[in-house]
Amino acid sequence: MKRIFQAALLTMPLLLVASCSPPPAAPPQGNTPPSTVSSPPPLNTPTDGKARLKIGYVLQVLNDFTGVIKRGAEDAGKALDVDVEVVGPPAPDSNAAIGMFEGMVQKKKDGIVVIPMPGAVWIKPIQEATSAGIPVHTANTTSDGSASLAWFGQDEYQSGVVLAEQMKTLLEAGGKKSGKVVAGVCAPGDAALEARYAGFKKGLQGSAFTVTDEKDVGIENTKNYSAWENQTTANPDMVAAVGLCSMDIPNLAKVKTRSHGTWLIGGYDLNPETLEAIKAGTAQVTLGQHPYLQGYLPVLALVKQLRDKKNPPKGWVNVGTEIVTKTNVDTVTPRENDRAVETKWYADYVAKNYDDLEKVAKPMPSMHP
Amino acid sequence: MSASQNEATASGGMRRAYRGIQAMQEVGVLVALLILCIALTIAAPTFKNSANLLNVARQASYYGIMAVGMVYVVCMGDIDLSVGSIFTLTNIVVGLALQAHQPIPVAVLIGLGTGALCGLVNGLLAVGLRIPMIIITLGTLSVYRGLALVLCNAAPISKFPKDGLFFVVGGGDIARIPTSVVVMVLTGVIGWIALTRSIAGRRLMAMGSSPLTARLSGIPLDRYRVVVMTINGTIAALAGICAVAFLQSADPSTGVGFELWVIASVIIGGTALSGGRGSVPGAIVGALIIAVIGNGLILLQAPTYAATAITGVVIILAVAIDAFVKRRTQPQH
Repeated sequence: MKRIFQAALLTMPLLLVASCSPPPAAPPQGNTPPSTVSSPPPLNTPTDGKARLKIGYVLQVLNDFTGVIKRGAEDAGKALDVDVEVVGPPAPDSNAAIGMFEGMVQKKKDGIVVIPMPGAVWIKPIQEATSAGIPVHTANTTSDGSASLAWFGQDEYQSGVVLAEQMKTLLEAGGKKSGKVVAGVCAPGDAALEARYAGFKKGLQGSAFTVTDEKDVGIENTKNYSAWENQTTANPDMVAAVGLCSMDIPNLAKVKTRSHGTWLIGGYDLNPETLEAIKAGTAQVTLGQHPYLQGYLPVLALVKQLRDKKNPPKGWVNVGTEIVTKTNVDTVTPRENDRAVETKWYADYVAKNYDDLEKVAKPMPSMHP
Repeated sequence: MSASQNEATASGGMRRAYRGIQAMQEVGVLVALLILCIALTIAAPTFKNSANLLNVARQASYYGIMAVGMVYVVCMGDIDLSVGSIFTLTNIVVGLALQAHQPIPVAVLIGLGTGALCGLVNGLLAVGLRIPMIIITLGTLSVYRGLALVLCNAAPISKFPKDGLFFVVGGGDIARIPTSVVVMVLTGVIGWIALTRSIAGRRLMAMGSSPLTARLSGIPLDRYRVVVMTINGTIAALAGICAVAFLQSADPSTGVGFELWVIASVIIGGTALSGGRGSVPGAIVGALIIAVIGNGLILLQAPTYAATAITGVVIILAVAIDAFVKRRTQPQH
């Protein structure tokens, strides 16, 4: 029985190879009469004879947030008739992501977009790509000092300030004049999250509300829930909890419901559970950073540069920070829950706001003013 | 009976009880947990609140459930690195089944079946290809996690009704004890009885102690390895299902890194990494120690960046206390 099993395992690769199509026949040479069967045209060749552009997009990790970025990039590919290949490691792993980026360079992509996390380790890979003649844009987070053309993202520091202002307004509207706000971060040391926290702290400066130092609440979902549960036990006097990552609001909402808490909740991103919590009133405010645009716009910029010979944007293309509370959650929810609605909404949004990317681009914002 | 005879009987009973405690394999790790709890009660009085203690028990329950199966694997001289990924895959599969409006018992069976299948594949590959289990499961760790990502497109699944008994009771509590803790205790009791009171359990220890002797004694090693890995996969799936019931969503980030904490729970609990000796209650206590440390660091407002390092130091201390107590109370071989 064992031998049969071993034989089956060893035979499988052979069967796979045998089932592959044979390579195309070599072209006729010399006096050999030409074949009467013409070889098929190469794939994806438009009838006007121009080769189809190939764009690569390297994510820092595969999760629900970068899944939206991926959708944006792929929709851009469809709308602009270019090939877009989106890849990313299953867990945060800059070595693996750099390997994928270098693979894109080897495959001679016409342009590459990358989420460079952390930015410092990407300077050399991006330099090597641009030296090979491949333009590179960055999205979501930036690689300061790299040879990338433009960064497509939100001002993380300013988003923290905005979140602080929203929380302050909501707390005061609820009758709270002072108190402690617990801030949680899922990946301590991450540049974007540190900028958000710095902005949030700045935003509460001068008010009677204090913010704790960043608490490590972890990325893994059960650990994130447990960490928030422990934080509410450790801080029974807190008036609000703010999470800087996408998994925080859903877990905070569950902790609050189960513990019958009355503290407010604020955070980031527009995943379905977060929007449900906002609608139910369990969470109060979330900030969206248009990940779809972080996927769509850099692809658009590359296509305009490579195919339409437009000047590329340089510096920073602000994708904007979207404030979502109970008052406007119903306008956002259909877009975040329905693929077709999302595609249509963003197609209109891009046409209206990002027609000329070079004009829209600004100098890079300071992450830590 | 005279007073002196009564006294002699009472002190004899106490001596027997003390010898019984000394003989327990878990005495060291229990002492370590006790010292930790006493220290935290003094340093952070909130620790001893019943709500907090129940939270800690529930936080330990996922590792604790999975540790029961891992004790079996380690006892027979192997390691399973794929348990975290099986936890994730089951989480996603159950979420998808619920989203597809499958009845809850069907979704649960699909989840358990997924875990069993993963474990079976691990066992068959190791036995069939004659490759160490740790290597096979190093590969299947990525396979099962990748499969989970493919199935859910890297996005959480939460769009299913959450008002059934599965969520209300399964994700709630039974007689005020979190349901996942009840599941952990029940799994632990069954696991302990099967390991220590059955012929199969003794054979498993023999396999880990001396595979050659076990084989020469007629124990079918390959069959046991496949069966144990299948059971381990099923138990990991059980933990994944408990997580869906409690969190009311299925998330592809769930379970990342769990394998190390599960193995740590087992080792802290006194199971020998070399095989041949194991303790299910010890593994559960090991999981509790890990959860108590996490809870304690937050209650004590430990600096964020230092928390990871402090966790490692406390784990080493807990194992050191266990080793010290064992040396004092148990005869050395």
